[in-house]
Amino acid sequence: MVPEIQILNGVVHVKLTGSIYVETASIMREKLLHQLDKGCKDFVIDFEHVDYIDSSGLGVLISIQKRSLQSGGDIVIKNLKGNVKELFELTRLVKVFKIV
Amino acid sequence: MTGIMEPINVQFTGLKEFATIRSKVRQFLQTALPNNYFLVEVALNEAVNNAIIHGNKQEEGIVKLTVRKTKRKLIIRVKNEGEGFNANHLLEQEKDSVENCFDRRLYDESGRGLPIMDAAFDCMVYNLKGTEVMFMKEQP
Repeated sequence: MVPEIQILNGVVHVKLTGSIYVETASIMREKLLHQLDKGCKDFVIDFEHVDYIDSSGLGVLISIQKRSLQSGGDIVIKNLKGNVKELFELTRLVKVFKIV
Repeated sequence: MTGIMEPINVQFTGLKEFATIRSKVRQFLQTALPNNYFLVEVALNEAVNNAIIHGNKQEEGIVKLTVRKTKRKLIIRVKNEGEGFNANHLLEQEKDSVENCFDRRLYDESGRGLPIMDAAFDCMVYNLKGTEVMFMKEQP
């Protein structure tokens, strides 16, 4: 799974697809860190087509959010649903991220 | 839970090799627990990731995975060849704490694996050395 990335009005729109296992979480980290290094600080991450994530992917989201907050930006997570949403709720990460 | 199924009994080294087995494991769990396999799948992957990354330190150590279902129980074992760690003590500390284990590490970039594993199963125990974990989920 390689994240699809589009930059619109300075906001990084990330579309994730399928299962985010530990190795795909590493790819996601690399791609999003690259955007941060380019000066982007606001991210919208679309979970519409994600059917799996575990703590490795959740950790990447936390680490990217920390960096974006330090730069005055933030992460918005959208279209969270089903089992993936329940995992966010179990791990209390619904308190950490803006979820729309 | 459905009836007795042919168990999964595999060994592998590293994430690349495990990636070739994941879909078989997912299928097994979906059949065994059609209504609530997801968290079990996550927990199993957490245990395997820990075994490879922390247990075997990403080196060429073997990880052994068994997934077995009886009429009333799903039993999973994950074993690595590493040095081990004080796993059962850490689990006890988690349970002893008043604060919710996920609230305690809300902004941490890691450390959710063990509490996710604990949440997914009815029983979770490590061997004394901390190199093998056994999980069990009972049929309601």
